[in-house]
Amino acid sequence: MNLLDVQGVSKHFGGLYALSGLDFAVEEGEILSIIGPNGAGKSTVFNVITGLYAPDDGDVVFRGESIVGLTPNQITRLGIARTFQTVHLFPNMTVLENAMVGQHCRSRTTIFGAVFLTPSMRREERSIREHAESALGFFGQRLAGYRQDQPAFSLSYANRRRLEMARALATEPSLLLLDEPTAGMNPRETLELRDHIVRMRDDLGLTILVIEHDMRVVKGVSDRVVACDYGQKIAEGSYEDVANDEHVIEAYLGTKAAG
Amino acid sequence: MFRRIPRVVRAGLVAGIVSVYLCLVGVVGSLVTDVVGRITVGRVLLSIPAILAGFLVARPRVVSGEVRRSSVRAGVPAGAIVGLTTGALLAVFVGIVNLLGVDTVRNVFIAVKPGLMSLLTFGHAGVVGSVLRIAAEVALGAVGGVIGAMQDRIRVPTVIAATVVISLGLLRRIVHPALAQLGLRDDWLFSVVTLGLTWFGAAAVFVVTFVTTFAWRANSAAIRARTHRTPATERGVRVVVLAAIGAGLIALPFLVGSIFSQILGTVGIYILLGLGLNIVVGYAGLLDLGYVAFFAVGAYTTAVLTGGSRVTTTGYAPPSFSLHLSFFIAIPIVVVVAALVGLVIGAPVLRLRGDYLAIVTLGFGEIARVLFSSDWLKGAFGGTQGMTAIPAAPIGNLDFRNTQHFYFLVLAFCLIAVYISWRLADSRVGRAWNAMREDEQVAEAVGVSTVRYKLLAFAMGGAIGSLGGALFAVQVGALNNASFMLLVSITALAVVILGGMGSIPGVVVGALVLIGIPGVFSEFEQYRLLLYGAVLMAIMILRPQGLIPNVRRSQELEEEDVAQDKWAGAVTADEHATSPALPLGEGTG
Ligand SMILES: Nc1ncnc2c1ncn2[C@@H]1O[C@H](COP(=O)(O)OP(=O)(O)OP(=O)(O)O)[C@@H](O)[C@H]1O
Ligand SMILES: [Mg+2]
Repeated sequence: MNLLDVQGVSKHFGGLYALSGLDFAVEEGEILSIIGPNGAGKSTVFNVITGLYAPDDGDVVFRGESIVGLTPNQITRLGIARTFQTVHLFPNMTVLENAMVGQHCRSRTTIFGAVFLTPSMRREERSIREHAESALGFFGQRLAGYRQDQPAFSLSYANRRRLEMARALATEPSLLLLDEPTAGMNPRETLELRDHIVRMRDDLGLTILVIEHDMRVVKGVSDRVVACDYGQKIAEGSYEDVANDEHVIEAYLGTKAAG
Repeated sequence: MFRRIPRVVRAGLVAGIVSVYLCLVGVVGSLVTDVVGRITVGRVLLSIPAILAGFLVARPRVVSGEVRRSSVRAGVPAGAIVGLTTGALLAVFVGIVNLLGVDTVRNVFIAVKPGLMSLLTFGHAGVVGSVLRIAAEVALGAVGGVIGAMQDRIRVPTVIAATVVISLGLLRRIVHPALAQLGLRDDWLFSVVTLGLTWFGAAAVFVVTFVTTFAWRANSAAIRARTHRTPATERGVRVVVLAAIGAGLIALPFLVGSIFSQILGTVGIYILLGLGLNIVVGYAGLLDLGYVAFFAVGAYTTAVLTGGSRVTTTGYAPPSFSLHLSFFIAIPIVVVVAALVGLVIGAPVLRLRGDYLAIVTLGFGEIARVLFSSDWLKGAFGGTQGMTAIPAAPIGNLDFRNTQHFYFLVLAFCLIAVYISWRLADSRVGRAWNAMREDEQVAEAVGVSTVRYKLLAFAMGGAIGSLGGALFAVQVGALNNASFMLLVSITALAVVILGGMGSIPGVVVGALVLIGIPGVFSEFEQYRLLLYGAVLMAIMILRPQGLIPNVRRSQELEEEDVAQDKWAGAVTADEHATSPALPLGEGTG
């Protein structure tokens, strides 16, 4: 069964159709890349899946059940985590706290527990910390040690992106949505991240949906690729198939490809 | 234009304008308590602008990366010129007033009285008076210049000692009874005639403070370096410090006497309001300008539950609903009611942010005040006449209408509120609030139910604020709508901002400064709002993060990051070289 089914989703802003009847499915355990030119509607479909936008039409089905109409926090709790195209951290919280917020939806301490220091609250706080540390630890030494107590705003750009991913990992998702994870990274960092994406699937057992412009990364990580333009799917298949698809070339180059 | 004037003259002009302003608002003429000898508070305040300006022009400053320090020989003339300018401006002011006539000016500026003019001119009419004033300002500016040019190790003790002397001069009403309690004589320190410090006392205090601070500063670093600190001694030190603070807090009301215990009680009430508002504004980032609503709910609910009476035209009458619970049984109910009110206020504003939220909550605050004093609810809360005869919550021998006993009730509530705030800050709940404050949409996407946590913040903040209201009802025993003005919300917010958003010690310090200082230096009572304005402006300009900010160590980490790239050993350079440079590599060929 597909883990996620995006079925005929449409979304318009005023007269602009960002998505018009987009269809695709994500299978459990795969890495699916979404490519497409700027403004194709890629980020919009992420926002629809995670509940930030309500679709005008169509349905989003996760593990066999529609998640349209749920609030973003409920969707996160169901197991869909995401990062944003432009990094969104909690800048004045420490690196560790950022990751600990990710554990929020997997814990239950209330005001009562926090104030009265109940044993279950202490246990849970420890487990939150351990999970957060292990999420940060996924990036090796990058987010380790003293750095965990630094405010997030003091991180370098690449580390902010890593922290955002660690925060998403800390929510213990089964499906991870990455919106242009390598944007703004230098070539070395990009390749490092490419390996991390593959490892998230292989070691952590996640299913990954990734929007990516860097074709080296797309080629390196994808089991399948979906290409979009004008809010519709224009091609789907293996990297080679999609990269050679004439609609795709046309969409990217803006002209009809010479046969 | 202003920039082209030499710095020294500019400083003098600013000091002159400030001095004239102080004269016009009345602080110079009307604050006639003597601080030292015959020097009144007003005179002290009038001398501050010139000294401060002289200090500022002469103090070391950084010019293109180098610290430039003036010598005393350069500092004195610089300060003198500052003083000259200041004095000239004041002389012009005196001249204008004399030209127009004191009475004419007084029609507009009521603080301009013959007494003020004589103070400015040392009792001499005409040119002599103006010359004397200018000479005095020159001297003051020069003193400032000297202080500015001093070396740090001398300057800091000087400034501290001067501050201590002036504070002590203002605090006779506290210090005198406290010393009497301890059986100590103080007629050498405070003059029995003027009630200010004697010159001898002032000099003695100055010298002692100066020597102690000087010695302390010279040696503390050395001592700290010599003593080897282990975790055990650290803990020992902490226990001793906490015990000392505890003992001080317990002894305080007996040392300062009953009048100042009342001020401490009010400070405590504002600490409670500040802590509650700190949860809403500081932790959760929801700007609430109607926080007085919770104060009112706490006060009126307590009044109704513990058996207060309504004031009617014919006397007292019990409210339409009334219980005679003990205060301590009523408190949990009050807290629950306030939390429910928090939910009611929070629900309609869930979608609002920033300015809009502030305006709507401002409205709610006013609605609360109007409702409690409305004719519609007159039967329950006494309308504009309000309620009275609220019992004072006695336990055993403790009578909480007694300000010294009340202090302990407030202290207990404050400790509870501090503990709750502290526990919440470092918990899952506190992190969720912080995340929401930082970025609401992202917090939601990371799994925090923003609806739930906003409501929780209003409920929790309301619950703590209502404790302040409940204590207020006990403290004064009577309520009416004049006690629940917008000013309460503003003061509570000022307390939070002054101390630093989200900072618990900040709230305590903020309440001490904004409530304690005007209360203790009762001379300033009528200038309370002026003080608020000045303090908040100064804070916003000099220290926008607050006095005791909720700090996070900030450090630029970019450099280390470059070094960290070595970690990415698996990534080789030639991998880059072989990767296709264009999108859609092989396929397009
Ligand atoms: N909140 C919004 N309001 C109005 N228009 C929007 C909004 N969000 C997206 N759009 C528009 O929808 C279209 C698709 O946007 P989207 O961000 O999904 O593109 P994208 O494929 O992610 O592009 P990019 O590669 O530049 O990130 C764009 O034309 C964009 O301007
Ligand atoms: Mg996008």
